[in-house]
Amino acid sequence: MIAVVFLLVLIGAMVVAAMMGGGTAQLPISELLLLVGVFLLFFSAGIYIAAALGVLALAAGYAFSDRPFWNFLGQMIWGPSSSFVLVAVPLFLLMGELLLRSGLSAQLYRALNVFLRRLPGGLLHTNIVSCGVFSAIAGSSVATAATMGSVALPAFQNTSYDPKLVLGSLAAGGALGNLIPPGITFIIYGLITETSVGKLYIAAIGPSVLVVTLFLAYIAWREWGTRMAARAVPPVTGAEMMHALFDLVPTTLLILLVLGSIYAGLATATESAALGVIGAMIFAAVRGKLSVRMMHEAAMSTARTTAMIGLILFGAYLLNFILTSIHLPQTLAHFVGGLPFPPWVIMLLIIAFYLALGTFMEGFSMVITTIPIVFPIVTALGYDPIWFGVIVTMLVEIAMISPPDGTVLYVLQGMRKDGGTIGDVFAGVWPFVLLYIGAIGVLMALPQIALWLPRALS
Amino acid sequence: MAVSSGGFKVTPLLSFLRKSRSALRTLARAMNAAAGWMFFICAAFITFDVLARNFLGFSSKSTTEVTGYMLAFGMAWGLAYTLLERGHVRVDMLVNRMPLGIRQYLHAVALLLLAVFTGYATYGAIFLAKESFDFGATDMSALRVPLVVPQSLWAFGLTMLFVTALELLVETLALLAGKRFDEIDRLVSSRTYEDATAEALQAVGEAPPAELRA
Repeated sequence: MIAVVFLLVLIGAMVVAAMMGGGTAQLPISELLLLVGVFLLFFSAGIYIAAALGVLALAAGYAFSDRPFWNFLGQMIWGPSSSFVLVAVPLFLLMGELLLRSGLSAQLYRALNVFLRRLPGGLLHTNIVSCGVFSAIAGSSVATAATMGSVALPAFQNTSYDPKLVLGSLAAGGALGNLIPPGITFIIYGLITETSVGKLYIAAIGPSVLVVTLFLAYIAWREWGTRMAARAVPPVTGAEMMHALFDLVPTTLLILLVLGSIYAGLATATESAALGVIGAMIFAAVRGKLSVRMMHEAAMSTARTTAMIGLILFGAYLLNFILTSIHLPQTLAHFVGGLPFPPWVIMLLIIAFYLALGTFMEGFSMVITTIPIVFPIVTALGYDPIWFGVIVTMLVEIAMISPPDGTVLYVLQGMRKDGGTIGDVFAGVWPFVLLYIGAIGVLMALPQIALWLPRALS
Repeated sequence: MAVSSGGFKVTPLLSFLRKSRSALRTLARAMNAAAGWMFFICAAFITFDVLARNFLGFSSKSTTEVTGYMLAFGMAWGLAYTLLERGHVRVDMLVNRMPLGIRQYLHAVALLLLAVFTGYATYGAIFLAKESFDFGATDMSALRVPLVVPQSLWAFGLTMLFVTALELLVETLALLAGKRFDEIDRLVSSRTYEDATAEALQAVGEAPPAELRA
């Protein structure tokens, strides 16, 4: 609710700025207000997001276009439907669904724990790292929170760990999934903005390392000292370590196959996703989990998520076509570029806008709906498209773990058996949310963290 | 028991609608399965092409186009089932806080707008496929695929979504007329995180905790 009020204030401030003639361009204020008004009405009324975008596009088409635009509708949505870049989305989803059903989560948690449990904070580090790895390959934060929660929460029963920190670290780890390559948000962003998905994946390495390091450092700091001694952590034996290493081999091979082929320039994101599906099938077969039934379940689930993303893309492409034909994004970008503020102030406002929006909107829908409008502004301000892709992805992730609306938090609360309140989850996740936002600040000050690697490699 | 409202009986109509929905669901489910399995074929096709290009020195030279058609097929054929499974995204923060009486009308409005949007999209898709047919358009790949083939399959998926949206709209209106509000909620309200969690846990073979079970 606070978020909605904030968004209204932000739009109001923009209108006031426009009326004061702050920009050099004439902004179509009434059209813009109408657009925002209808949008708010549709969204608050629970209209399907795709339908809200699509009907808005039709209305704008009838109002502003003198051509029979309805005859071009098919062409507009055929584009994203048959895009080779977008093929990567269902393939990565399919890979994740297969791995989800192949018993990867428990194995990953056990194996990583062998290496991490001696650190101050022990199992908590395992939470972050295993959730991060799992969500990167499974592609869904909710699925990650549910499956890792089911593995991890029992491990913490009857221990002296602070339940708040346990829940917070699980949520935070699950929210790394889209940032750590190969995330699906990057593919959708790449499709809409025509940036290279491969470059986005390379740019995401630095920020991923940064966020994970911040999380681990925070846990080590919180757990430093006496509590370590209080927990009788068994020393790691050589045999145990060998066994754990052996368990990690298939996962590592799969990551090497998928990311290695992209990073080495051997395959596009779509091709590596296809390799990932075949790899995941082999992985599941080795573990004796591959069956027609299991593949069928994975296929059904993949088709459903793909259709969900697809329908929103249809609506967004229609709206974007109409808006572009009346030059709205360009005018808006020109107007914002002419405002008497330094670019970073506007970037901060954009970031705040996403943080607010993210509290009540699902991540993919948020990116698909807003990027066509926001992206021209960002490039007009002189920001790098690749850098902004990383920032947007981080913002989507933050949204999923932000109290009081972040979905992941409710999933974890539902998994608990100790009878605590949702307040524990909120309290536990706050430090991680702040660290994540802090990482965005660092990236604003030092964009090289994201941009150095793609430039060095090209 | 016949529930009458405004002078006409809705129960016979509702039972007819329920039967049509169940028929639509069977078809939509099969189409969704076809869509999902198509992605397996797609993965195999791309993998084969990558391996052949790198190790055997040949390529189908039409991967980009053909996998694009597979995506169009997969995306469109899953649309209707996703609607029936309440999987299309709605921003329902406000809706769910409204009293049941108001919420039902919002559900009906949501379906009406979805039907309008998908109606136009379906018209556009069929128009495009027909145009490709009339002009005998093919793609630029080595295979020279006539575009009408993938575009008709794709348009069929969209048509199915449109028909399903219409059916749900009519059923919702009939339920509104019969004042059977809670059934509307079950028909169209969005999937919740409880649904998503239960499904993820079922996928890994765990029983969902009691409070998450529907």
